[in-house]
Amino acid sequence: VREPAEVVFVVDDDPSYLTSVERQLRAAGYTVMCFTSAREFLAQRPPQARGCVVSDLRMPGMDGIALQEALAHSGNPLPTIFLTGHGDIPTSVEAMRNGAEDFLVKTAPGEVLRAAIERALERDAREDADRSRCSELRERFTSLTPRESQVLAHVLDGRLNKQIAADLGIDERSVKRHRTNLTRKLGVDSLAELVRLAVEAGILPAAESQ
Amino acid sequence: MGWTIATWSAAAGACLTLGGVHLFVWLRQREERENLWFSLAAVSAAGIILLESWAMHAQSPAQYTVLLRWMHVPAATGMISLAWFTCCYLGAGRAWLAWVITTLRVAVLAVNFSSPSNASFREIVALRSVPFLGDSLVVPVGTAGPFRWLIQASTLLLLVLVLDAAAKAWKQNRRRRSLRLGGAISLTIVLSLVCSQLMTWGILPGPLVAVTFLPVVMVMGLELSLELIRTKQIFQESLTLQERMRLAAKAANLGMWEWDVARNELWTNEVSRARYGFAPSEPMDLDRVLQSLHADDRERVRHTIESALGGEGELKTEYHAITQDGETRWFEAFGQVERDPHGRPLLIRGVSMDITERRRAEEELRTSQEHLLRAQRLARIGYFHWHLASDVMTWSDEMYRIYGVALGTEMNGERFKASMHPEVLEYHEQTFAEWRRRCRGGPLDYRVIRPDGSIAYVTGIGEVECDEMGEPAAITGTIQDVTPAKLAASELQASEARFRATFEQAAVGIAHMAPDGRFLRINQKFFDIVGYSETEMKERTFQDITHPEDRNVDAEQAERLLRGETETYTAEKRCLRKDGPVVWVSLTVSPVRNRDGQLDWLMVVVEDVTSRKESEEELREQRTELSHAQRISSLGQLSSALAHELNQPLGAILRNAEAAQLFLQQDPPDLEELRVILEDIQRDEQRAASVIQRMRSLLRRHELNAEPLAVDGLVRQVAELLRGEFQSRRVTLKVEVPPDLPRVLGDRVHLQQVLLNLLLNSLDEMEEQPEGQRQLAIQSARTRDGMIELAVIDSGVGIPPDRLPHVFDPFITTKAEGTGIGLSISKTIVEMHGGRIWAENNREGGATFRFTLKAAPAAGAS
Repeated sequence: VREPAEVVFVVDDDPSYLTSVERQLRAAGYTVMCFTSAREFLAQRPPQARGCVVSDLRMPGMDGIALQEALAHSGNPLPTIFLTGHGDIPTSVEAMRNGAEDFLVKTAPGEVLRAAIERALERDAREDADRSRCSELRERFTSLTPRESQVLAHVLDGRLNKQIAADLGIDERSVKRHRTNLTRKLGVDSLAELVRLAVEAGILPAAESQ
Repeated sequence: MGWTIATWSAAAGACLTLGGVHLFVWLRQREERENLWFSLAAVSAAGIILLESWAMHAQSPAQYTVLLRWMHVPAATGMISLAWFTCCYLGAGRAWLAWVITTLRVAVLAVNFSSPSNASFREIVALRSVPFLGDSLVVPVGTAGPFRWLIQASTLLLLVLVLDAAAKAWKQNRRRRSLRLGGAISLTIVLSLVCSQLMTWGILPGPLVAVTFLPVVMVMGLELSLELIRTKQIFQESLTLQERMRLAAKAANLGMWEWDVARNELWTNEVSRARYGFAPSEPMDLDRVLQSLHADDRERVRHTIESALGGEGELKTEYHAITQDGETRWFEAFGQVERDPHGRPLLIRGVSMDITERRRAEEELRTSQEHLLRAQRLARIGYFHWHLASDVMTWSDEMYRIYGVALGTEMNGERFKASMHPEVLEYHEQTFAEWRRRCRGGPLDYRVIRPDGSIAYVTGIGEVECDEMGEPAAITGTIQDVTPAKLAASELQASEARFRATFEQAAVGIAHMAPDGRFLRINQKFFDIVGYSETEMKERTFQDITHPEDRNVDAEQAERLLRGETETYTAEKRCLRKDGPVVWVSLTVSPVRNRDGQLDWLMVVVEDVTSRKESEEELREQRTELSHAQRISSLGQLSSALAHELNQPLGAILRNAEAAQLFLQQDPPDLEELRVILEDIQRDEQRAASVIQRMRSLLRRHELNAEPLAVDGLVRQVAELLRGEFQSRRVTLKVEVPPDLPRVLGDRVHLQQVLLNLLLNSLDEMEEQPEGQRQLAIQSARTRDGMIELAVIDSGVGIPPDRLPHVFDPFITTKAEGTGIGLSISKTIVEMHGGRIWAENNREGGATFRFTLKAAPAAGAS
């Protein structure tokens, strides 16, 4: 059922617990990779691998929170599920705010753990798709000439062709030609569609579009 | 020229010679005036003889008159000098007579030279030639002078003087001299009177002075010759005597000396010279001799000499000097002053004797007498001798002192009896009667009433001396004053009574115990404490009433005491009261030894300390309670870490169990996998159990129970407990325990609590430090005094100096969550272990807590 590319990465300094988790998840049909420290995981994981991370919170050296931060700043931020021997409120709040998928005690039942993993995998897939579309759109935007980009910026600002011509010191027809070229390149038919696309690509903040 | 001239000239020559010799003698010895007078007399005689021989051959009466006038001059001097010579030579003449004679003769001279003729003749009218022994001599014819009687009177007076002086000298035993001189001078005078008269009558041609004077001159010449012979004899004798004296003085070690006062010349014999260290020919004077005396004596001796010179005439003194040999010796000197006729001191002559030995003997005698007297006084021993026939008792000084009677009071039997105490009088009488009857003494023991009414106890021994007949003659005895001993004995009784009272009424239990544990004597309080009666106690030993568990608590101490290594020991043990309950006693045991140092019995003092023990027990319980509460509190602080610790294995178990379920659903199930899973589950279960065990051990209420503990194990267990805490606080821990460190003696739980408290405290101290600078170290080492020191060193901010002395005070905390009793409890625990705990700041920052523990005895065979 699973896509083989999806891997559950388990990080725990306690070898006994690491083995038990690996064993359970494997039995449940996941592809599991085990690491006894955060640094080991960051160094050895496949860069493009999809999946999620199940990590101990307290570990000598780099702990769970630090691992999460490092992942977030990498090109492939996998969703993270934290396990802890004894969860305390301040740590869990911090972890969740940093985008942790879940925060479970180590004695949490197997189905709870599996459910969390499922959610994390779904999220990874979704975020991965989003990230793919976004990069495709950005590609489209980068195909514009510098003059077309300038014109696009003025268009997105909501200015008329005459105003744009005056601003850029070119004639109105040139402006029209550039607009035609960029809508063709970006594959949009209307101004409204152009704005949506720009927001989606992260060029225009969503709030400003409204 | 007739033979008379020759004879007369010879006589004159002899006289002149004699006069010259004596003048010479006088010039050498001015004080010998008889020589001067004799010399004058002899020269006068020579003058008369010459003038006379001339006159006898005178040619005219006028010539005769002139010669006779001049003849009166030597006649006067001869008479006067004879008078004074007699006075000097015989030493007995009357001076006034001599003066009268002198005056008369001067008067004769005056008459002689004032008259136209001379004193003898008024006028010489003619010269008559007379044949005299074949020679022809002239004789004056004239009328006698009116003052001729003066001449005769003076001559008679001289006779009187001579006879009187001779008589005196005779009486003074100078007979030879008195006889010869008195006889010679008397004869001369008589002859001259006769001749003079015969001449006047014209029978003799002149006074024939040569004839009359010659006997005197002869006698005196003889006398002088004899004197010379005698002088030589005396000289010889004195030489012999001197030699004898020298030898005798040397043999007798007698110093002889003579001090010439005027010349300050000191002569001493060789003994004295040697004594003071003078060479045989070295000049000596008084000052140099005085210098050689002991400084203490110099002034006194000088003063004695001066007073002897001043009037005493005799000198007697004792002094001491340091002799050549460096020895101090004592001398005694006697001396006599010799004076000139005017009473001026000429010299002192004397002897000196070495009296050192005598003085030493005297000193020794005096010392030994003093010793004896002192011994008697100290021992209060008196001595008496009772002569029965005369009834005279002689008492020694101490005897008087014992009896309180004035020294020297005469004593007899009646007075002796009177001093007896009335109660002993009869016994005393009987004793003495018995002694006298059997002529044998015996012991004495009685009381004396002193004049002041006080009583003296005396004891002694008496002896009866019997004469040949076996009759008692005297009783002698010594008695000793034993009053103080008697009084002491009665005081001893009193103090014994007082002691008995103390013993019985004492606030503590006192028992006298034989070394084998039997009770010899027990006071009431002891019975009260243990609840047994006296008979019951005497049947038991101390061990019988001791709680079985406590029977050996003082065994070692008791052995050391019995071996004499200690003088006393104190122990606490439980005793079983007769009526059941246990009573805690503190017992002090000390040995009582006899005079030889042998153990007589043991003095056991017991005190009921049950109530104190109970409150101690209560206190200990409270302390245990408190430390328990503190442990729970510190575990509370650790709860999250501990939960983490526990959930780790629990989680693993759960995971594995669920995995196993999944594996079981497979077909066929992977049995190998399942076996591994089960093994893992088992291991994790043990891990969980050990965590729980650690917690439980700290949570349990716990009595102090000391055992040998390895330091590294102790530290490891605590570190394990705190592992999670270290991790979450990002603190690194370094443990340095030398492998050969001896084990400590202590209670595991309590010592873990101490370490836990110190580590938690240090963790809190490092809260503020940036990550990466939170380092903890536990070090352990052996101290110089054989203890084991553990140190917890942090890299925190350190302790403010003003707080340093108070870190172990209870309820002092800087932490919001702390109870403030952790360090205080730690201090209590360490001190209960006989150790010490303190805090200090590190030079490189942070604080160090150190505590010491006793090292466990070497493992030995185990």
